[in-house]
Amino acid sequence: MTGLRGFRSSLKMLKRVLAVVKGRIQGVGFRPRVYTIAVKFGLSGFVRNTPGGLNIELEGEGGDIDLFFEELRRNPPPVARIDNIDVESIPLKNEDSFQIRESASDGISEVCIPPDLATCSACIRELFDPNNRRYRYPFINCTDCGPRFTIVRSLPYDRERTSMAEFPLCGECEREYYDPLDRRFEAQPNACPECGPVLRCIDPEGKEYSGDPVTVAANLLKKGKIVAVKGLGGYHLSCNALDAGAVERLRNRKNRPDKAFAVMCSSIEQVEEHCKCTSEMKEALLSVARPIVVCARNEVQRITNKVSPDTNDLGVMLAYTPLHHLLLESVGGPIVMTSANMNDEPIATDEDEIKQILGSVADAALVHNRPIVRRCDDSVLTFVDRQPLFFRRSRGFVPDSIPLPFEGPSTLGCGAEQKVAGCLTRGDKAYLTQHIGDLSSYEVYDFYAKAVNGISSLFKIKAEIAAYDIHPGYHTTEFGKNAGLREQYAVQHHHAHIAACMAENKLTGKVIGVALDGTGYGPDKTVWGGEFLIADLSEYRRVGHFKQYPMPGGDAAVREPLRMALSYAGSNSGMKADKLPTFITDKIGKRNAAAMLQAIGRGLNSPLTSSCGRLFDAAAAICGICSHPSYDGQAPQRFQNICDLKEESAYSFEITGVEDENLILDFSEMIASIIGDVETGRGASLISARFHNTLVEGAAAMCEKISADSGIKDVALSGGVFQNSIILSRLRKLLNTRGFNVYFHRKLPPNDACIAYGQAVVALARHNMKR
Amino acid sequence: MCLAVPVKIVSLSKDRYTAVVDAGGVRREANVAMIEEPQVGDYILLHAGFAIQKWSIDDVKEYNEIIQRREDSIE
Repeated sequence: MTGLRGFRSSLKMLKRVLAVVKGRIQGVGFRPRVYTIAVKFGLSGFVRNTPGGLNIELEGEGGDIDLFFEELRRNPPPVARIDNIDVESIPLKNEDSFQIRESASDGISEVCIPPDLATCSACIRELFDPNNRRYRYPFINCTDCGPRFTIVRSLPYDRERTSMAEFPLCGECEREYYDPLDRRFEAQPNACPECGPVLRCIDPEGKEYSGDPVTVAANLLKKGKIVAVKGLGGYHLSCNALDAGAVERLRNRKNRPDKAFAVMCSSIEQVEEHCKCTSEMKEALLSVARPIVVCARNEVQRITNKVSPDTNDLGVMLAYTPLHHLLLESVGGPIVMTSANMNDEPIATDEDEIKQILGSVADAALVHNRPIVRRCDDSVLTFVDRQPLFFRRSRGFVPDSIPLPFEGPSTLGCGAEQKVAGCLTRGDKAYLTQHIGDLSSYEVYDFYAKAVNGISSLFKIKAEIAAYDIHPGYHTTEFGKNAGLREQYAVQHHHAHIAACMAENKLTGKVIGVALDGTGYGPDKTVWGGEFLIADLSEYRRVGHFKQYPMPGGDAAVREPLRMALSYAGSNSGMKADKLPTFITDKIGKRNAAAMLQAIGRGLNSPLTSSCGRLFDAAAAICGICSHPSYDGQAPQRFQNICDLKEESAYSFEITGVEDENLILDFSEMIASIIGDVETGRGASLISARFHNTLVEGAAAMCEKISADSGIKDVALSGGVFQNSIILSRLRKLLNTRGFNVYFHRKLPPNDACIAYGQAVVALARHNMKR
Repeated sequence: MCLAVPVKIVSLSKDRYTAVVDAGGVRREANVAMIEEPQVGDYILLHAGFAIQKWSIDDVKEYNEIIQRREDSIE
């Protein structure tokens, strides 16, 4: 350790302080930074990670100690984030050096582990430097980058508590690891070809190809083959994005006919060859989180349309591991990178799970022996009006906390049934799990339970309150009820949506909540989804909703938008089959249509819904856009994609009912007009534009009516429909021009991924009111 | 009295809206559009030509036992 300046004048005032630093400070090179600054100002003492935060004891002159903190705040390590520094004076100890000490691992864990960090530029330089000892080593990393969340087993973040524990450091790596002035000082995943994980390229029989695995895999990709690639949070399935045949094969083998694939590029320049990128999009693409960013395609570009047949947008990301960098450098062009999973199962993470994919889907696999501790899909976002719009918050963002508007006992928010992410709170912070997906299979449910328990054990959170959806049949509801917690709250789906949006925006008063989505269980046992609430964080009142229509066959109507077309059109024609437009009956069959109307008329398995998602389905199906969707939301996706953005006209709608009680937003005239437009041969682009405009104007008119009666000027928007950038952008603008303050999600997706957080917020608000 | 009877799906139309069902050896057409994912082999409850719900094997067994008991008591 470095000695201090030997001579200290006795006239100078010495003092000693204990500083507790909180924030993102583990695994980001924080202690070495503290060390170098302390040495620079000639201070003695030590720095140590504890579960309560980072402890720094400093002894020296008051002025030097002030300078130390000034420099630390001005110049923290690149990925660190200081939330707060508490400083108190303590008695002098008269040490003669500054030290970095072992972590203390007892007590409540208040520190946080950073998300996984994309490979930094210094490591990329070394990766491609033939004279560097880690030249082309696919697991290069340092304190500024590399895996974190996906390799950590428990906190504090030290090597023995990660999946790197199995790789003893060689002499050279050990030297780096213990040198506070080295870029790899205590970089937990530190490794080199001598001592670290090993990459192999294997064929479907599990046999290893000879030669450099990256070169072998790259050559296979160039030949149009499909290669499974082990990433940070799981395997990707990869193929050449410029090769239509390869993408088509991947679709057939993965049984995913239409849903968009993401594409990985080697550089921002390569992204710009294919997409229009705003400055915000570029910033997000280059951020350490390295999410998938949805951008508009350039008119002229070479990525095959088969990558995203339903939309002119493209989900792109940049390489975020050394392996990706090597692979892309060898392939040259952009590659498809889609999660490797089979039929509703979670993303594959280990060699056993990849076995069933190898051969049936992938022609080869790039595998390695660094275990993935936590499954984690890529995150997906875009920007609308320069503001982020998340579709999925996962790798690169988890486990960063989301602030809560108040403190309270630790609460478990369970989520809904689709796009699930669980939530646990402590104090005034919420920790969300990675993206889980739709709870449609046992494997996904198991992943969900493990992910929730994972956050709970990682942060040592012991929940006291459970919050779940009022839907009696949700697996997440069952999970919450069975958690054995003394206090439980059932939260209505759309209230949870609005509460999530409010809490993200630190709103605690009353708002008008506009919740537009596909499905949510209403306390009146109908299916809600086009809702106008007056809500605060603890309570809500449904003051208006879309007019209800029957869903013929229940869930079957979700899978077959044509049924909704029949339901809306039938309601308009007195449920008489002979009065239906022929272009609809032709699609479904005359007899079938008549039988279905008869069944609806008798109330046979035709629950009523006010869902905005179903209205989208009906309109799209009437236009003949999508009669048998292959994925959730395909009809609205296509309908949005053909919208003529220059068209300003709209259809008419009606608002009936009484203010403050039960306003009904009735779009039956719009449905009649859409049918008329189809019959007179108007194009789907025009109809889609008018539909979007009508929906926006209808929702805004509802807000005005509710506001006129209640005086509320704050509007919170939430629900899966707001993943539609046209609706989001236009409704926000229209409400703004009519004098409303509009609030939207900033850190969480508007879809059901925000439900768990919203449930926890409502439960805490109710708990706090009871006290 | 109008009794809903359990019948077995023998075949499904291509659009899966209608099915041929077997009721004690008698075959007829039924509308299965309003139930969740009808499959060949499913037992369904039929009412006025519409399948109104699926029956589990246990439900069918229980129904058959009740009918048997009724017939026994009538004899």
